[in-house]
Amino acid sequence: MSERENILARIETVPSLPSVVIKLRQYLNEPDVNFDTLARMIEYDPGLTANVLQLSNSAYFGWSKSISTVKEAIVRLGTNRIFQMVLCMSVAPLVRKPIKGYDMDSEGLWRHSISTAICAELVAAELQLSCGGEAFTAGLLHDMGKIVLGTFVDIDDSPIKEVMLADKLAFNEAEQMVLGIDHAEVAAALLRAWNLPDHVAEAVRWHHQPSLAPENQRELADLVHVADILCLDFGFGGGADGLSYRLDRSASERLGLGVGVAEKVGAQVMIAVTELNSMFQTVREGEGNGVQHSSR
Amino acid sequence: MTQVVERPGQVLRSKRSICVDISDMKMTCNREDVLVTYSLGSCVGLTLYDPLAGIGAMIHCMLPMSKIDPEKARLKPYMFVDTGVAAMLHDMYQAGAKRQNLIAKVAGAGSPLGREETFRIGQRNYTILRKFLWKNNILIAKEDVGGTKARTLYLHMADGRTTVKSEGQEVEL
Repeated sequence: MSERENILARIETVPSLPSVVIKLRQYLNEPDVNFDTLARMIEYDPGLTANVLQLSNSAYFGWSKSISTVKEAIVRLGTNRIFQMVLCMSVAPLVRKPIKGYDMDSEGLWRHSISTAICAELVAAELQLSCGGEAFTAGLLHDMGKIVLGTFVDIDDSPIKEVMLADKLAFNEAEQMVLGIDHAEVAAALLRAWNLPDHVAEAVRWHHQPSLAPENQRELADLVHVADILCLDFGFGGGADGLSYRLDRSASERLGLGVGVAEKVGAQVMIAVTELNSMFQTVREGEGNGVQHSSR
Repeated sequence: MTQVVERPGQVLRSKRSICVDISDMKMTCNREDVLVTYSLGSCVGLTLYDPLAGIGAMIHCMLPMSKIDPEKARLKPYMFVDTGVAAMLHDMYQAGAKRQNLIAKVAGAGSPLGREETFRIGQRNYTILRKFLWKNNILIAKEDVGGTKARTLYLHMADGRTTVKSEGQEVEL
């Protein structure tokens, strides 16, 4: 079995996303969304319910009157924010761990993932992009391949760094050379195994080479690409790979993203990440709502 | 039975590490402190140290100019090179540091790969910082800037040394 085949086979050992995430996604895409039905889907999991209420009542939102039911949280925060909360809480137990193969501490990938999600959403809003609805999800999950490679496969990053420096390659190009696959392709395979939509998986697949993405899915790939690079630039999480990625200039040109908007968004991300981080500090990991070890 | 007696003068106190977050600045006159900032990508880290007054400070700026968002600059002045370094100098002078004694060292201002990098945030951070210090008659004594490395910057107050750690190696500036 080649190293590439071995890595793809290991995806099966990664815990699956809680079924509530997929159910919520599917339900929220229906034309008529009933808040009572949505609330019941969350309340089915007591741990998730407790965390949604705790987060909804955090100082970040600044409510004068506390929220006591999931339905009230949905009404006040909106379905989009509630889904983002559930998604973040579901992947947190996987992401908030040291990623040995990438020399990241327990907060490194988490900080990078949430900052990229926020950055992608803010850029999409600023430029009024049609793919904005998936910006947060694709941004949050874009580096999940690093968990597979760095934790489940336990890669040794030394030969990758050696090839990168010797051949002046980007980190993902060196991964491709040494392993026969890069973390972006691994992430896309994981997202497909998690039954997430194909266009999100494709955007993640091409987040380091957005010009190679299928034309009808390129905008989301462009968006995740620039959000990822900007967050690495600003030091929002990072590891052994540092800034060793290639910025595809045509991605920002296609999006119409200039330096002014990039800097303005960067300043907003900084404030939002600090606030979100303190909000999530209050939620302990894996209280019955995280990724589940199931036989897929 | 052996009795352990602690004499105040003999107790070795461990060094205290003070973390400077992104868009933050810290100043100290305690010789036991080590100021540290992590994850310098395109951001710039600046240390200023007055050996005579025994005052040191470190700032971690994200962006070059505050004019892109004056409201954010009001909330977080250290986010920007122009407002941040001005506030840092003001605080140091207030604390008793003298401009002619200040030793300035800079790290960061990296950038992703690609000759035609679009945003050039690292390069612009460095240019604005250099210009600002020059206008204030402060020359940069040492620097480790550019490239694709993420850096950690330290200022050791015991002796004023500034060190930079990247890719597992720590070197003195």
